[in-house]
Amino acid sequence: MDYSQTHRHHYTSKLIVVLLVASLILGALLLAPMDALGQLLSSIVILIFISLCSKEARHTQKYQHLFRVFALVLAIALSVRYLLWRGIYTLTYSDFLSMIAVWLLFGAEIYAGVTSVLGAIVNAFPLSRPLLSLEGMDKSTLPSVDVMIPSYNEDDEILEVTIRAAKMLDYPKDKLHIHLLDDGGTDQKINAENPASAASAKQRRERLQDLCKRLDITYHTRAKNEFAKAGNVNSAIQNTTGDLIVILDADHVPTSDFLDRTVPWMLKNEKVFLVQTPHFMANPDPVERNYFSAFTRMPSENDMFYGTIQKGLDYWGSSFFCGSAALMRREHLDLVGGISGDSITEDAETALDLHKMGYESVYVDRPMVSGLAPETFDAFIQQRMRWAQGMTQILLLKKPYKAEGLKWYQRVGYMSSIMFWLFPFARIIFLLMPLAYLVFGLQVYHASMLEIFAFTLPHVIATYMISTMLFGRTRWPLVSELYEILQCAFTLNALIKVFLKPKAPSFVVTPKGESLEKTFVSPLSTIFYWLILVITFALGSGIYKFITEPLTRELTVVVMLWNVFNLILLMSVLSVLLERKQVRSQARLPATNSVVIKTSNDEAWVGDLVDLSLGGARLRLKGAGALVPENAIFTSWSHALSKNVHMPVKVLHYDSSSKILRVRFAPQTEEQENEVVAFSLCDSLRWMSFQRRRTRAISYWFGAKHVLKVGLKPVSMHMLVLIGKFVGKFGLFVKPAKENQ
Amino acid sequence: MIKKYLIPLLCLCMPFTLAAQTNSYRLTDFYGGEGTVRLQGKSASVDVPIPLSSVAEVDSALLTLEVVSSQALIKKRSQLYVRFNNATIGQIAFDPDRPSLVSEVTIPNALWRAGFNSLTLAVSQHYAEQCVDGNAPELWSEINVYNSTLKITTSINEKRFTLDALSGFFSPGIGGQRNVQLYTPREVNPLIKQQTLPIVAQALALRSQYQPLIIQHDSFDDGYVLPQLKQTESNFWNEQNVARYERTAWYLKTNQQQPVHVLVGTVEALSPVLPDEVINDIDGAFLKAQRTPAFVEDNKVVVPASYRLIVSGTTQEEVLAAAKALAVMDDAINPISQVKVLSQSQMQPNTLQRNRILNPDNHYAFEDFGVTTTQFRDEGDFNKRVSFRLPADFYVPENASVSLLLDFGYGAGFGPGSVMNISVNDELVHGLALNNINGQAYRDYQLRIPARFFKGGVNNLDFAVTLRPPLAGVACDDVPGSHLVFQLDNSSVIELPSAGHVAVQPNLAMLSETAYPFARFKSAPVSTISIPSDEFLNTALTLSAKLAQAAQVPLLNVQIAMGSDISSEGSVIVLGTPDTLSNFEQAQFNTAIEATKRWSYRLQNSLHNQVRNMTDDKSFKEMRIDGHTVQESDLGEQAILTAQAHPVSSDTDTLFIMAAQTPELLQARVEDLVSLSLWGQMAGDFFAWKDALSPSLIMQVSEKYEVGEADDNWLHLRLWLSNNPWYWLIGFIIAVFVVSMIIYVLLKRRNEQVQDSW
Repeated sequence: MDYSQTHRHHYTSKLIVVLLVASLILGALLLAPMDALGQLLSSIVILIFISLCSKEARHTQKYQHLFRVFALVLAIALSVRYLLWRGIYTLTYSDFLSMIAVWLLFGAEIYAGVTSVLGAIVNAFPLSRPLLSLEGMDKSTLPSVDVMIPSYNEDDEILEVTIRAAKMLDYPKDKLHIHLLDDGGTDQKINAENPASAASAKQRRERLQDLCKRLDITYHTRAKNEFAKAGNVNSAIQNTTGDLIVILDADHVPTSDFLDRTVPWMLKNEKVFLVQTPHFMANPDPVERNYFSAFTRMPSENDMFYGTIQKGLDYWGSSFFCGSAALMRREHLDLVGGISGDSITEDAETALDLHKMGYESVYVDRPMVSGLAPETFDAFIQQRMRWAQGMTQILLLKKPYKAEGLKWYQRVGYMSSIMFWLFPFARIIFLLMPLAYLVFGLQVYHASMLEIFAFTLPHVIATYMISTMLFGRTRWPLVSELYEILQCAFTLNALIKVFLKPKAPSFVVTPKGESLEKTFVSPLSTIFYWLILVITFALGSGIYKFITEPLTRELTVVVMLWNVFNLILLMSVLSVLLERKQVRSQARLPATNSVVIKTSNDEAWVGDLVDLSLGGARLRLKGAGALVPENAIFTSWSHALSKNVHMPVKVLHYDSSSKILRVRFAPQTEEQENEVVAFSLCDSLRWMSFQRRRTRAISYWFGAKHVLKVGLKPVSMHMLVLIGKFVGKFGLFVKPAKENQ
Repeated sequence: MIKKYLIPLLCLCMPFTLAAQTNSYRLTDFYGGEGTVRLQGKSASVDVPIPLSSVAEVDSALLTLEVVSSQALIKKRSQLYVRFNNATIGQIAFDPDRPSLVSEVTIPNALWRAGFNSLTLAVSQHYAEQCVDGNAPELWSEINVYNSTLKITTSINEKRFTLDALSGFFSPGIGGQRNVQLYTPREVNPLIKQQTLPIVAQALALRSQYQPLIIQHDSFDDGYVLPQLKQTESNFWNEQNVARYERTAWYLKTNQQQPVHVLVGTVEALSPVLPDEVINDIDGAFLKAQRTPAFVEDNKVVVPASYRLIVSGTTQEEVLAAAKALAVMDDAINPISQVKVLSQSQMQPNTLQRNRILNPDNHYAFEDFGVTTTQFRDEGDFNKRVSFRLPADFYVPENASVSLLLDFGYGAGFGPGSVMNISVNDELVHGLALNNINGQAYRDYQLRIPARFFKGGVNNLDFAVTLRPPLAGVACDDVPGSHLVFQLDNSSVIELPSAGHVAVQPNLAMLSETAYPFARFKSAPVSTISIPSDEFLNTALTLSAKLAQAAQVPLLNVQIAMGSDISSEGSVIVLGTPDTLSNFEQAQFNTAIEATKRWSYRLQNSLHNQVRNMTDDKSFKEMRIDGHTVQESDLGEQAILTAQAHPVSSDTDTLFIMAAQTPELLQARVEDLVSLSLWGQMAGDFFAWKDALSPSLIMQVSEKYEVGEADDNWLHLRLWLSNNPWYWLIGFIIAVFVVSMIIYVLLKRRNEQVQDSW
């Protein structure tokens, strides 16, 4: 350690001492007692400060981060003061039941407070890494890469697209090896007792072997389906030799620059074991499709995680492996015996194991893999249950809060990610707690109206302000609440099972690419009907209580408002459960390329792409009077291939008024097939511009209004479908979801 | 020889000169409601409780009622019944042709009893012979209880005088004594004057409960001068007559109108007026109730007979101890004439004050504070008021609550409209329909009431119960309500939260209701009534007696101080005239009462000096009185009472100044002030009055401040921060800024380190 480092370290130690002293003083101030009116006055001023600081923090300027930190500390301090006040003055109860209710609610609030604080620490200083490239490097010195595509039951078509994209990765071909890891055609499956299953597995193996042969990649399978995806990858690792390993889910199509942008980070630092990139979803998840129909306008659910949180985790050296779209170093994986398999979220677990050993991770915030989100609510819930269970397993089995080898901030990072998944406990309490007061008359919140205005409301407002500051671009207001409500009932059950038996859960593959040919009510709706019924009943009880108990009217009003908020969210949730028909098999995403449509008669029209999918495109032609024949050639510049592509298309429709032309790609040759894939799915620039387009900052009120408006409208539609179920007519014929599969 | 014994015996049997007193009372003197009572429906009644002293004997009582009745009432079936202690003593028929009437009813002497007598005015009202709708609006009559009077002549029936009769003599009821003279030797020891006399005054005033008791101080000389009796034999003053004369209360002033007077002093000092056998009995703290004979000569009363109470001892301390014993004595268990006090415990001022209130952080059954189980029967509207006192400086956080665990029940067969409403200090807090046809009994029926509904001082819980029989379902037929019964048990419990001890001062309303800051809950610092000379002693004693009544306990910490210097410890009431107050520095007060007055007229000071309820004032407006008029004038007939922060006290105390133009005027005004009508009207911190009816002006002219207990730093901090949130806010923002800056520097440094690694 040289002099400057020693000096710096000493200086840092001094700063930390001052920080501790200042924090102690701040803590004492937070404990200081004050009457509600004085607090109200102070809270209003603090909220004004938070508002101003968070506004400044959203603008790019020199002191952006200072304002961000100031707003965060102010808001955390206000929340801590609130929790202290709750703990010291309001936890009174008169009987055993009240005691349970009071402590449950307070526990949920503490949980919310702790996750906010952890979240604030994690996201205090998101790391923005520069975009690196292999350009200019000596190709011969580059490490060899094994691209592994684990598969279990995915369709061949999905796999083929992924394999074609992987083959087009911009990397020396002699150093790039693609492997399909088939777990659906293992020896165990082929020799299954059920003859039909065995035959199906055998057919699958043969089909995929053919596919691999045709596309010139390596087919892997194994004897037994042990340790699910982790076991599958580990088995392949033993049979491959590449220096680096890319893991791609079957539906995760890489853009051509994936390795170009990620490998340099591996070369820069020998200690890097992981370069993770975002999962860009090319289709809406059920919430986006059913609820908002706003897939292209609003940030996606995982935009918040990949657009903000992972960058925050990266700053603290704790960005973790997300199962796919990541580059890993074989040497390091070998140290921990490959992908870990104690939990069903093997990805985060592996990262934790390697972080504990002092190795580092990198997060490159550029969407370079497009995948498929689960189509149905059923599949969506299945996926989330796995994540929740897996993260809880890590909490219980690996105990990251006291894991040796982890720095304190890495522990905070992991705990922040894990604690989030315990939200079902708190959410259920927040949903049902108004009942305790409105229906059962339990005094769960012992505060006057003035105190609620002075302590509670500022805490809630500050939390929302900070949430908007941190995640405003990547998460619209109230959307988190909707997602949590949707998941809580199911994941709570799953979490309880994990707490009872931490090692019991097994890996369940998330179904993707499911058919949505008809609109139907999700079979998971029942619990929400019950919740709505119960909460509506509580509302009725509240009105009765308001009339008959004048003494507690102010508290009744507050709890009723809380209850109404819950009811609105639940009613909004109903619309998600109405699984809408998906017209296109592939979701079309906006695109802006210039296109030339050319016929065999050498006639040509120039136009601009409007949207694009693997199957086809929509474009707006320039000029008037176009009469495009059924078959034509679609020519455009492909960034992925760095050349013009010429693809045969079939014209489906032309609207002369809007000049919109709809075409379907009709590739004839292998090369054309590749070009279609490369043009539509392998351009990371397009994903970036699309992501930027929907991750725009909006005002809190605009977002909240939009969410509520969109959410309430389809309730009547939901009722209509339900009525239709009994009447058996109307256009919407209802069938249980399972029958559709 | 016979003559020797016969004459004193005759003297003892002679009727009192104070024998019979005739007084006229308005019924509103006994009734707390409106001046007019309206009775509606087929039958209705109102009860007027009339207290009577246990020592008074009613010679005659005439009730005059002023009644107005609806012209719709039919004559034969509409009547006003006058009942006294449940015996009907008058029936007044309503006449539609004579809707307004004044009627006189004689109350038979035999019906009177000591304590509370119940005068019931009940009506039966009909507008038709049958099918009368009980809710018909024309079924009404009004009794003007303000103009209705009770003229009553009473005399004292106490032949023996024992200590248990003291409560009767000083009873708040009819026949009770309303002023009393305290006699001391002319040269009285300062301790007696400063401490003992106020306690004696308070002791007697506490027996009068809410009725004001005017205290007068008089003194007697060391020896007597035999009166010059005309037309008597020159040898009249023989040894026997002198001895007779010595046994009388010869020192009484001629204006002595009240039966009982008090002698206060050491045995030595009282020896000129006490007979030898009494002197011989005094060998410690001593109390004696004694009847003195009259001295009659030729049928002329030279010295009237009297009842005297002797508060004495061999030393001043013993006299003080005797006074203290008198102050706490339960008269009923002392049917004897004299008591020698050997020792007393738990006589600290704060302990006594604490015993009279409900202590925070405790729970009490209603029976603990003297509430009896109440039963309501028959159809009608009933009310049960449960009163209790909380510490005057009762201070709770915003979210604290008081729990009521009520035990009550009602019988079967209740009809629609049967309800129980519960109010706390006139705020409705709970309602319950009594609608179970089979009746219901509740145990621990819980109500949580925000503690902010309660206040320091007297709090009232009202249980308003309406009992209605079920509907008959047949026209012109009613179900009688005799089966209706509702019971509120005294096992019901009130649970009080823990509370701090903080009061907002200055506040004359609080002084009138609880005697705060002279009576405190947590501590009892020595407080003084400061008088410039003996001329103000009567006023000071009367005031001290009234304060004890307000606190409902003897205020052992209240002393009378003589001179122009005020005590720097505890709260002070300074009595004086503009002249005497000129010696006293008032420059820092917003008003000054001295030869040159400084008034803060309201128009000079915007709206600030209106009366505000300081306890609820959360405006944080700085109260600044800027406008003054300095004038040279007299106070005229009026007196002024002001209150402000004590300028030199080491702790936060309050200084009261009470002044009138002359000592005599001040005494008269204080007698007005302690009257039932005016005392309760005290408010603000500037109070001017010139009669007993209503104040001339009430204002708030001083800045408020809070008085809390010194030992509770946490509470002090809470108060200080609540009043100065800006300081907290500034500290908070600075601390957050420092923490943020350091975090920012550390974060930035780490960011640089990460970037360096690229």
